[in-house]
Amino acid sequence: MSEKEVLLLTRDLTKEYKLKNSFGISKKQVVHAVSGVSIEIYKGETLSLVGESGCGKSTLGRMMMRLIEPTDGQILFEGKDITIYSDKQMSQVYKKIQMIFQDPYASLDPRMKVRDLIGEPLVTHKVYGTKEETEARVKELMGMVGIRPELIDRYPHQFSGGQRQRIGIARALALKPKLIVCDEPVSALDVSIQSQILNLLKDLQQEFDLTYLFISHDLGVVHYISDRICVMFLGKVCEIGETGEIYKKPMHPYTRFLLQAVPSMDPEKAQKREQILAGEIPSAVNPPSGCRFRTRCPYAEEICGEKEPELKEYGKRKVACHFPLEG
Amino acid sequence: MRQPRDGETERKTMMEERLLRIRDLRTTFYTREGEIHAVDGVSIDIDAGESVGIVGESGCGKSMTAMSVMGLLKKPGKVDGGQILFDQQELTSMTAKDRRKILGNQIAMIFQEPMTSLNPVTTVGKQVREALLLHNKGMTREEAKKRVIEAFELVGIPDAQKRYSEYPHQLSGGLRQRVMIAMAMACGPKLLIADEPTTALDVTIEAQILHLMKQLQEEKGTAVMMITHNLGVVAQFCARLYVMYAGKVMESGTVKEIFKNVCHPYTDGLMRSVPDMESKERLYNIRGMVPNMLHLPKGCRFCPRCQHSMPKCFQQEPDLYEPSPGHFVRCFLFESEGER
Repeated sequence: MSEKEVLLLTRDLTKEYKLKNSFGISKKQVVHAVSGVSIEIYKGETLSLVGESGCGKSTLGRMMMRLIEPTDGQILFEGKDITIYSDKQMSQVYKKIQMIFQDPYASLDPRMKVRDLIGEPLVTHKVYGTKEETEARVKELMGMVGIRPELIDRYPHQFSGGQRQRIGIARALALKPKLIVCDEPVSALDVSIQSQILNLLKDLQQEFDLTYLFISHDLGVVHYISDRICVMFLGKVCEIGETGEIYKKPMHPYTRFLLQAVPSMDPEKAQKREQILAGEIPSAVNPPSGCRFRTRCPYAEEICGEKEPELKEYGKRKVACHFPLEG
Repeated sequence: MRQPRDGETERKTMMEERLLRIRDLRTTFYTREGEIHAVDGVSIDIDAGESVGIVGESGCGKSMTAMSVMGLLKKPGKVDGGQILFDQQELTSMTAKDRRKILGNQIAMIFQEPMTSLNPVTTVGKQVREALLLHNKGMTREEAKKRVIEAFELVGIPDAQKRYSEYPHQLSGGLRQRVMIAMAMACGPKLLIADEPTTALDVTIEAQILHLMKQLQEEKGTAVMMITHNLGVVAQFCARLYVMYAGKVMESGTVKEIFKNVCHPYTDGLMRSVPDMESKERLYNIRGMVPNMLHLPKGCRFCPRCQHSMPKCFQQEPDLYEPSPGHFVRCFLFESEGER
C-alpha cells in the first residue's frame, strides 16, 4: 500500500459482558471479550483477525459495525467517530460497511427469493426509483458473483452452500460499500468451493477497490487472502503486521505456536513436528494477570505475571510481549 | 508407526493378516426421489496397526463407509452388497447381537462433535465406565472406575479423579474429545474409526489431539481409519490414503507417493485448492460442483468437472489402474499403465 490512508481505526475498543445468574441478577463477574484493542484498517487492504475460538475476533469485527455496542473506546470510520452516531446516522454508514457471514444457510431468509434478498438493501436505501432498475442491478450483481441471472426467482434452499455464499456476497456488494467485514466466510464450505469463493473475493476487491476485514481461524486461508494480519489471544492483540513477514518470522510466541500447529501438506515435514502448545485457552472471566498468554507460554518469566506487555513497534509490526522471539 | 509397504507382491502375501477388508461395499439410500448410491463399490484395506485416511468433500460417502462398517446406518440406508471382513469375520451377515460384541470392544469410533455424542445428563466418568462394564463381564464397579481414571490419565486429562464426576458441559471441546478417545480406547480396540475428530477444534487443540492419537496408535498398535476433509491432517497422521468422490474411490496409495506424485485430476485439484502457507499464487479452482447423487453423470463421475476429460470419459466408467505399485487411480489417463 503506497498511500496508507486509514479507513477505519479503533481506539481502546473494549467489550465486557456482565454475567447474570438464572434470575437475571448480575453475578459481579465480567467476561472480558475484547480488551483495549487499537488497530487501523487501511484503504484497499485486507486485514485479517486470526485466533482461536473465544479470542474476541468476531466480537471485534461486529463491534466495528456496531452490531455489538462497545463498552468502551472509539471507532473512527473515515475520520468520524461512529460510536456516538444515532441509528439513523448509522444507517448511512451501513451503505459503506457491509458484512458477509459464516453460515450461508442461516444468513439468508428461507422465504425470500434471490430477487428480494439481493434487492432488499437497494429498496431500503431507496437507491433506485423503479422496480425495473432494481431488477437490472440485482441481475448485474448476480452476474458479478457468478450466479446465472435467470435464477432470480429461486429460493435459498434451491442453491448449494457455495452458491448461497455467493448470494450473500452479492447482497453485501449491492450498495457499493467501501469496507466489507467477512466473518469466517469460507469455514462452512468444502475445499473446492472454498477456493472458488476466495478467488471471487480477491477479484471483487480488485475490481471495486474494496477493503476487507477478514475474520478467520484458518491460517492457510488467511495467508492467501490478507495483506496484514492481527493475531489475537483472549481479547488482546498479540502481534500485528504484514502477513509474509509474520509467517516467516513470528515474534510473539503464541503466533509461532499457532503457525506450527497447522498440519502441513508436506507429509515428510508434517510427520516430524517440533513443539506442541500444551494447555487450554484460559477463561475470559478471570484472565491471567499480566500477559494473558503466560499460562501457556514456555518462555514466561516473573515479569509476565506482573506487568502487561504493551504493543511495541518492531519495524513494520507491533508485538505485545516482554520477550519477543528473534526470528 | 509402521512403514508403508511398497510392493504389491508383499501386500498379497500379507492378505491373511488384514485387519479390515472391505470389498465392493454398496450402501444405498432408498428415498422417495430414488435410490442414492452413497457408497458405490468401495474396497478398502486396513492392516493391523496401520493408519489409513479416507478423504473427500461432503457427500462423497466417506462417513457412510464408516457407518456401514459400524452397522450404524439409519433408514432408509442399507448395505446391499459387498463384504466387510474384520479379523476374518464377515460383519454384514452377522446378527445384530453378535455384532454388538465387536462394536465398542474391537472396533471403536469417535465423532466430530464430542458434545452431541456424550450424554449431557450423566457424568463423563460413568459413561466411560458403562462402556467398560458392558464388554467386561465380571468386572466390579470399583475396578472399572480405576480403569477409567487410568484411561483419563492416559489421554492427558488433568485432575482425572475430579473430572470423573463432571458433566460434559463442564469440559472444554478439547477435553470432551479426550473423553471420547478414552471411551473408545477403554476396551483396547484393534480398530479405531475417527470421523473428523478434530474438525470442531481449534488448531492448537487439534495438534494436541492428533499427537495423542498418534501416540496411542504407536503404543497400543491400534489401527486407525481417519475420515477427514483436511489433507493436512492426512499428511501428518496417515501412512496410506483413499480419496473418495461421489461414492467411489478415485485414488489410493501411500501418503508419501500420492503427495509427491498425484495422479487423479480430482485429487490434484483438491490439493491445489488448499491455500498453503508458503506461496500466494492464485488458487486453483475445480470448476462446477459435486454432482447430485440422484442424477450421476454417465461415464466417469468427475468428468464434467475435469480438465482432462476425453470423449471416452463421458461414455464409460474407468476402472482402477495402477501407474506404480500400490498406487491405484480411477482415470483413463492411466489406462495404459495396466489394469488391476
